[in-house]
Parts: sequence; C-alpha cells; structure tokens
Amino acid sequence: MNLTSAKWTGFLNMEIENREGKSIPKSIYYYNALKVQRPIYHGKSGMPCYYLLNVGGGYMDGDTYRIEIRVREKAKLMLTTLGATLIYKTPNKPVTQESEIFLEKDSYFVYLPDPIIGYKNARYKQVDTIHMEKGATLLYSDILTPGWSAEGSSFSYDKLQLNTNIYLEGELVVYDNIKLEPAVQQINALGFMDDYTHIGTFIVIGDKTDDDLIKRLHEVIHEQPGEFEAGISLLSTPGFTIRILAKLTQDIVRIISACHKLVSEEWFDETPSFLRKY
Amino acid sequence: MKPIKIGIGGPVGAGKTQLIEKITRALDGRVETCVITNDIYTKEDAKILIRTGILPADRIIGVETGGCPHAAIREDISMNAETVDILIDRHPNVELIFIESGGDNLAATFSPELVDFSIYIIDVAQGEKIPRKGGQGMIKADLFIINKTDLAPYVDANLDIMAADTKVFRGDKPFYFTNLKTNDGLEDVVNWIDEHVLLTGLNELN
Amino acid sequence: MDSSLLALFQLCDSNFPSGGFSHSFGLETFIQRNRVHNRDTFSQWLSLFLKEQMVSSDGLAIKLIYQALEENDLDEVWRIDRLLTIQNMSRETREGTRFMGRSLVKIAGTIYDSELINLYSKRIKEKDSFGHPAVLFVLAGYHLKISRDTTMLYYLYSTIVNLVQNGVRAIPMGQTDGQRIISDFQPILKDAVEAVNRLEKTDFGTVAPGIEMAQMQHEYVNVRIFMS
Repeated sequence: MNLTSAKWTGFLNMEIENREGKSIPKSIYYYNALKVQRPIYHGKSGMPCYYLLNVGGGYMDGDTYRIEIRVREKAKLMLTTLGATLIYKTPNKPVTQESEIFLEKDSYFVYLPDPIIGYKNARYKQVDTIHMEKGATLLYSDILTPGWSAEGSSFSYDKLQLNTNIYLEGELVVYDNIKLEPAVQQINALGFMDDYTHIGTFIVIGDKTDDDLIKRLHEVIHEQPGEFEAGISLLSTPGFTIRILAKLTQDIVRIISACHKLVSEEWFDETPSFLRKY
Repeated sequence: MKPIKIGIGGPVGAGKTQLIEKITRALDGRVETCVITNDIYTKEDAKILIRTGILPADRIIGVETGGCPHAAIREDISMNAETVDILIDRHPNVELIFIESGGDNLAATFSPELVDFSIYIIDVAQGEKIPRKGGQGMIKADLFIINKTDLAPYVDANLDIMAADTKVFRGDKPFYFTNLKTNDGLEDVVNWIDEHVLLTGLNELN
Repeated sequence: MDSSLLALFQLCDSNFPSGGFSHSFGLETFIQRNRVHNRDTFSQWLSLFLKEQMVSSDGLAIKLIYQALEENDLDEVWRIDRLLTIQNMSRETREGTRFMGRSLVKIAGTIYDSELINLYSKRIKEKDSFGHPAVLFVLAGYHLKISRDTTMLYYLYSTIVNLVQNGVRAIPMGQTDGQRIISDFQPILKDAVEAVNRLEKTDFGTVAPGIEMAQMQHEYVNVRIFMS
C-alpha cells in the first residue's frame, strides 16, 4: 500500500466492519495531504462518522488524490469533510481526485461532503466509482458553488467536472457527469443555470425505494425555505436522484439534510444528528 | 396467449371512460383486464378509472398524446403499442386490454395493428345529426353505441332517426342505445363482447 | 442521391412512427412556466438542448458506436446503449427515449435486412439492452454504409424536426416560424457534428443543469400533453 500511495498528493484507505452491531475500523491508512479525524458515534446507531480533511487547506496545481473505502457486510459508515474543498488556480495541470468505494452486502454508506469551491482559473476533475452488492444502501451527495475570485466574480474557475459511476452487482446503474466550463459554455443562456449559481446532487440507492417515498421527499423538499429549483426522479435501479439549483450553499445543505433525515428514519429508524463542524 | 385489445373511440364526454368502467364491472373478474387511457391534457382519465376502484392502479396506464390523439391510435401507435407490451410484461396472464382514445373527432379510427376490435361511442346530447355525418370512426367500428338516451327529449333528438341514419352507414353491423348512468343497454354491450370478442376473439386469435 | 441515403432518409422522415410527438424532453416545463413562448425563446431552448445535451449524449454515442462497429466491438455497442439510458436522471425522458427506441427497432427490423438490428431487437426483447433511438439510428446508418458524420447529422436533424413540430403544436407557433427554425438550425447542426468530433469519451453525458431540471420537474407539471 505504501508503494502505491506515495505517488499521490493525498491518499486515504479505510475499511469498516461490523462487530456485534457496532461499525468499527478494520484498518485506516492515510498518507500526506489527506487525513481523517477520530470518528464520532451519534446515538445508538453504531455508525461512525468520519471527518475528512485536507492537511494543506486546499488543492493546488497538479495535485492528485485517491480515496479507497470498503464498508464490509452489514457495516455502516458516514463520511463528511471538515470544510469546503478549495481548488486553487491550476496554471499547469488540473487537480484530480478519484474515489473507489466498495459497499458489501447490506452495508450502509452516507457521503455528505462540503461544497467544492473553484478559485479563479482552477481546473478540477473528480471521478467516483462505487461498487455495491445486493442489499447495500448508498446516500451520496455533492455541491458545486460558483467559486471564488479576488474580484468577487462568479464562475471564474476554468473547469469543474464530477463524474460518478455506480455499479450494482457488477452492472453500471448510475452514471452522472457534471461538467462546467464557464468560459466555453453559455452559462447565462435559458436552460443552463437559469439565474442560479449552485448545483446540488443527492443520489440514493436502496431496495426500499418506492413511489410513496418519492412523493413524501418531493413534499419535504418543497417545504424548505430559500430560493431554489429541485427535481426528484427515480433511477432505473431502485433509487432516485435529487438535483438542486440554488443561490446559496446552505439552501442545498438544508434540502439534502431534510431528505437524508426522512430516508434515514424510514429505512433505518434512525434520526441523523446535526453534523457539527469547527 | 396474446390478450385481445379493444379500442374505445368517441368524442370527449361521450362516455368512453364510463363504458370501460361499466363493462369491467359487468365482466366481474371473469376476464383479466387492463386499461390504457389516452389523454389530451392530463392523465385525468387514468386517475378517474383508478378512483373507481374497478381495477388495481398497476393495471391502468395513462398515455399523453402530445396533442395528437388521433395519430396515437392511427398513424403512429408507438406509445400505445409499447404500453401494451409493458402491461403484458407486468401481467403476463392479461386477457383483455381496453385502449381508450383521447377524445376524437368523428373521423378517428383505430389502427388494426393496435386493436383487434373497436367500439365507437357518441352521446345523444351531441345532436341527432351525428350519425348522419357518416364519420369514419362510427362507420368502421365493430360496435357503435349511442349513449345518454335519457337526454333525447332535452335536445330534441329523435332516436328513431338516429337509428335509421346509423343503418344507412353501418348496414347490418351492430349498434346499441345505452344510458350508462342507469346501465340501460349495458347488457347488450356485454353480450356483444362475450359473443364477438371473447368467444370469437379467443378462437380466432389464439 | 444514392439509394442507401434514401433508405436512411426514411428513418428521419417526420412521418416515421416513433411516437416522438408524445415527448417534449422537458420543453413542456418551460412552456408551462411561460419561459418558452415564441420562436425566439423556443430557438434558445432548442439550441441549448442540442449543444448541451444531444451533442454529449446521443451525438457522442453515435460516434463511439460507429467506431466500435468498425472495430467489430459489439460489447462496446451494448455498453453504450446502457450508458445512454442510465445517464439520464429524468425517469420520463429516460423512458421516453426507451419507448421510441423500441418502437423504431420494431419497424427497422422489418425494413432493413440487418443482422445487427435483429440482434439489437432480440437483446431488447430479452432485456439485455434498453433500446434507444440513437443506437438504432447508427446501426441503420452503418448497415447502409452511410458515413459516420452523415449518420450523426441526419439523426440530429430528425430530432430537431420532431421537436419543432412539437413546439409548433404546444407553444403554439406558426408553421412558417417552425420551418424558419429548421432552416436556421442547419448550420448549427453541422457545428454540432464538429463539436461531437472534438469530444472525448470522458465528456459523455454532460448536460446543462437547467435542461435536465426541466426534464426531472416535468413529472410534476400539472397540465401536460407530453409524456416527458
């Protein structure tokens, strides 16, 4: 592992297993710029919540990151970040991050990272590949902001691309590819961002998905305050996608949290705790 | 075994949805049935049928026709044909599928590629002269129904004239007067389905 | 005009029964909100739909499948059929293209004597493939020995014509405006083919967020004449 990990700017490998109803790390290994803090267990769920953090504070030109996670049979894991993922300008080479996640039979994985903020002239590509076995449940989210520049202008990054591939029992069931290149695309055109600046995605895969849940989530989404557009639709496999266009990160976070809460209560009879960050 | 498909055509408000409801109720579970409704503006007809409770919701599918209700049953039946396949896939033993058109003008006919039999229904309140207009929908249908006979006195419609005009265009092909609200004439329709669709249909198609 | 081009032309004809008149691919959401209400606003939507969805999904799929067919790599063809279907997050748009694809395959199977189309049809029946108009179209184009770019151009053209017809009915617009749009789009379609040819595999399936949002939200549109 050390041999392969050394070539990355940041590397994380963690394996979680279920020991008598409590999910605990079988092994955790991180290298260089990536790190996880000691887990927090909320309530009696036996589900550890790990905070991922970037030691350097942000992603720099040409950085490469790799995350490997395995959640073993009947184990649970929640992963979040300690703060936003900052991508600084990349004059020479884009930043790349790849994640490979294995969810074994009847495991449960929740991924709720903070938003990605692209600085002026930043290029970033993220490829997430998730392999699921039968009975596994996945809650996966990401948030893209219009970025940051010293002049205060939005969409001054060069390119952000998030590619997500989810396999169920070896078959590709979800493929999502978001690519924003503000200088090339007609971002202000009718039907592009439609006056919104932030994009949120919440993908949920679980056998218990049904029309009634979708209906209730749709109601919950539209009970939330804030200015946003949201869509929810079933996938071709048991599960659904929620896409949100908004003007503020917190409006997206609120919607994802509300939907996370409903799914968690319905499927696991657990009410998730508020994720405290310092 | 392939299910028999019956197209139900007729102008908006003539009683297509009600006809399907009444026939399905009268068949009383003797025949495994599914329904496809074609709607112009919403899935309203599918919702109405589901609300009647005559069939479970997963046996009724609404198809929106993009503002082309006639095309969807005649020159481009793709969406209806695919929906038939979905129902067969969902209910492999289905014996009878009704395909309700989205509300027609008098010229609308069903593609023989889509249905095995067709019924065209009008109502008396639309005017005594409707049969006299000789619409293709009424002429080509295997069965023609003139509904809401109770309204005849209110709209000055003479049922004898309507019957005579119908015979001019349809010759000996069957037609019935009904008042579906009170089930008047429903028995004739159900008997026709039994004799011509279920018996003949089963023998010829399978 | 050689006869094989005419044979592909049959597939692009707006009379070819594909059920396309039942699908707006999210356009109806914009119409219901009065964001698309005339020739100008419709053209804006259509242009973005073409550049920011059709190019990276259907267009790129045609390019990749054509290449795979030249290399006799059928697994890649079936892989892209799956990718094309699942990349769409809107159930209605996904099922709409699937319906249309299946319908096209049924008729194409009877008019083209193509082993590949028959194989595709068989895979769809056996639920090994989903069925998608773009896949059928490139199988037909390759079978008829039409070049990759021409196949792609014809496919994109037929998509635009179908949507213009739907726009004329649903907005509504005049027939002359409709034909003007089709005419105006001819150079844009050529640019779109060039745009596809510049794309890499990793660009597959990107979409303008607003276009996708309208497709997902169509499920909840009250007055609807389209299935997607």
